[in-house]
Amino acid sequence: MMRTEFDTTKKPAQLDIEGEMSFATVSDLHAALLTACDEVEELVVSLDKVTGIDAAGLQLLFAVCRYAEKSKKTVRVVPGAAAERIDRILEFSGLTAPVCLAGDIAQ
Amino acid sequence: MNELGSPLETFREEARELLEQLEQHLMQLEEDPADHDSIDGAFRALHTIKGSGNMFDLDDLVGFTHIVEAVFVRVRDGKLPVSRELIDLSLQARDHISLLLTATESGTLDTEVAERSRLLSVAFEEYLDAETSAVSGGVAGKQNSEAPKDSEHESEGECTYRIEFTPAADSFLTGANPLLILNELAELGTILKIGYCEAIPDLKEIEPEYCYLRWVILLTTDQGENAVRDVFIFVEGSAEIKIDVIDEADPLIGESGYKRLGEILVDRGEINPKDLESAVSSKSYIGELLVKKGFVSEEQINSALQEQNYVRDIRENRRTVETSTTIKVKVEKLDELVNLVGEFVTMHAGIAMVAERKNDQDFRAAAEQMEGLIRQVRDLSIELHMVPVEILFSGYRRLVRDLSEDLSKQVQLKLEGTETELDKNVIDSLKDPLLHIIRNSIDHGIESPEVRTKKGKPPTGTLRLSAYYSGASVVIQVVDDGAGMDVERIRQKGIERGVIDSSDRYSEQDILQLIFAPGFSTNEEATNVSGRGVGMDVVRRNIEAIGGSIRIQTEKDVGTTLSIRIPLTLAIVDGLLSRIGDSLYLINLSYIVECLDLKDVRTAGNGGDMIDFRGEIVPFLDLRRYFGVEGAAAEHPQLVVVAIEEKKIGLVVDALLDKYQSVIKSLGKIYERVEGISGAIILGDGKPALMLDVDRLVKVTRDEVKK
Repeated sequence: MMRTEFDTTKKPAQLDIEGEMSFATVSDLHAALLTACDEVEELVVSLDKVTGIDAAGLQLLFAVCRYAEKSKKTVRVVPGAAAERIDRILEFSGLTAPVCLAGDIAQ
Repeated sequence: MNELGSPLETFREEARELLEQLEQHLMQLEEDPADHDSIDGAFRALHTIKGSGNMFDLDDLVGFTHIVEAVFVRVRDGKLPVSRELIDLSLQARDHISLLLTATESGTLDTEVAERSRLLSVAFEEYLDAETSAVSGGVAGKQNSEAPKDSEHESEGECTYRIEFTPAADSFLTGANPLLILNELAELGTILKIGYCEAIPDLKEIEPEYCYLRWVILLTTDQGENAVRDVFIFVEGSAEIKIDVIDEADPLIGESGYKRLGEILVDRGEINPKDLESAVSSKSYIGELLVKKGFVSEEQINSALQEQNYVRDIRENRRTVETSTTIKVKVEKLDELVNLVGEFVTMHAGIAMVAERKNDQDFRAAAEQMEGLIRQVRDLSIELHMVPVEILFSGYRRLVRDLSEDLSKQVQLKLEGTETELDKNVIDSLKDPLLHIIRNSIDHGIESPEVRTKKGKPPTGTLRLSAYYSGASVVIQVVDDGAGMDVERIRQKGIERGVIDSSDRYSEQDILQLIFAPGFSTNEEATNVSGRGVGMDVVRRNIEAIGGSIRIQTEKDVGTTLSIRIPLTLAIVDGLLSRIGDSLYLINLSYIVECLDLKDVRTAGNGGDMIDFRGEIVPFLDLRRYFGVEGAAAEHPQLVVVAIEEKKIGLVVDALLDKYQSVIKSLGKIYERVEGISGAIILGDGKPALMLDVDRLVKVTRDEVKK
């Protein structure tokens, strides 16, 4: 349903999320994100392989961005191929994209 | 130049239309006192008259209307039931407002009218208790009132709601997905969702299975507040939900603006008025200032700004739709258009004739193309002139009510086929004849409750006005379930007056038609309403003047039906041009069943005055003989079979020429008494042609056969 892959060999380190970011997976996802944030100073969260997202998943993205704003670490969330899907749910929920959610993974 | 006159004149016109609507709502309420649409409609009419009158400082009118409106606020709020007495009084008030409107033309109010205002106001005040007076003491009902009650927004009518929705923290866990609720709301109308994420903690602190989101939703819908609340039915115990009406389609709110940013924030309880005041005094951008001072977050400011823009857009759209879908045009302008189109049609006929004569292919093709376009313009101009007969029929509701009351009778009026459309001019011409017929039906037809009960009928009589299409005509029927006409008595009266002889060659219909003779009445005593023998001849004359006919069916103690057949439009007819001698005649196409060569038709009957038309024996009329046209008869006369209400006759003419579309002009004095001719047209080449009065010819021919 959901899988994460944390690659610390990349600079910056990259957490790939694959599958659904939904209420059913947010607990596991939360744990993976916490681990990744704790381990490195600079992190890219790639949503390229995300296949679905609901309000609980969206909330978690906001929490990541909030963490990035507060902490001294550099965290970027890159939507990649999931950009359209994320735009849709943001628009549907009447929410504005958080600041750290932008750009392409190559940037 | 302003075509519709000064703004005050426009107001008067609109107010008169509103008074007509008010009367219809009151009549409907009398039938169904719980009809919410009529209660709302009556209130709206009064509210608009008062509000618009206020703009012109028409104090007498506004003051009086205000009291009546205040009573209807009580009715609308369910605090006052609709009673017969209230309807009586309200109808009087409606008439009085009409008088006050007329008084605004002279600018002076005579003492009698002022005294009437006072007396009626006193009567209305009795319906108001102290509390209601205070509530409605303001100017314009809802728009000044506080948060409206649920019941106020249950009916149709577009409203914009501000819904503040904070799902319970455990809503994900309980399966109450807030996005599904947003989706359901979106299905009700136009929506703007403003999501708030400010409560979402950072990654370290978040409980990912909890919900931290909340929304302010602006929803514009005509579904009513209950429908909005129903969406939240499964979460109302756990979520925080606040629903407010922030905008509604009020006829008096003409401006497209909306509240200022600070007002929205105060409205939402996001800032207190004191803080707002202190921020405003520093004369900077209010939004920036409020954020800077820490009174509100940027998210709250953005949300309020979105609300402001949303409601402005909704209002602007509403105004655009209202102004762009209808415009008012003076009837005279439409008449002029139809006349010009008629001239256009005639002119085209001339062009087509020239094209034919010159035998020029290009010229003919152009004339044909032009014909197609003209037909479209013609149809459109006629359509513009059509109005539903409801306008005519609903005007009689008050008459029936008042008249039956005066005559101590119980009469219910039923309207059918009110959507049937007729030329506005035809409607105007029918107003008086129908009024007369309805009066007669109530006065002479429908019996008193006592008599009806003795006859085993329900004490309340029924008068039915119906309309339906029949070919190129419309049939209007006035049907009562009264005593019916006494045919024998009419016959006796006819003999006494020497209108008919005592032979038995008259059919029941012939005898019934006697009631249309001038001065004919069987009533021993004339009443205030009818019975003086004046009127039915005028009724027939008026109906015939618009190309119509009238028939009667009656049965003793069962009732009477008067059927009026009238052409859909007076303006332009499609006809078949025919020739008799050197004269040309136009026969309305809508009456024509078939055209035949006379030599192919077998004659029947003893004197050879009938034809066998497809197995049916039908009388015929030789128009050459009928109109006394001199000269030799045609070698191959033609037969045109026409029918009115299934009654067929054949008309013999010398030759059939072509289909012809034309404007009918009234006849001058010379021809006005010629039976069988109803009008004249001028052909494209300037020659005149006469329009045959088929209805009359059918009657004359069939009467002749009977003799």
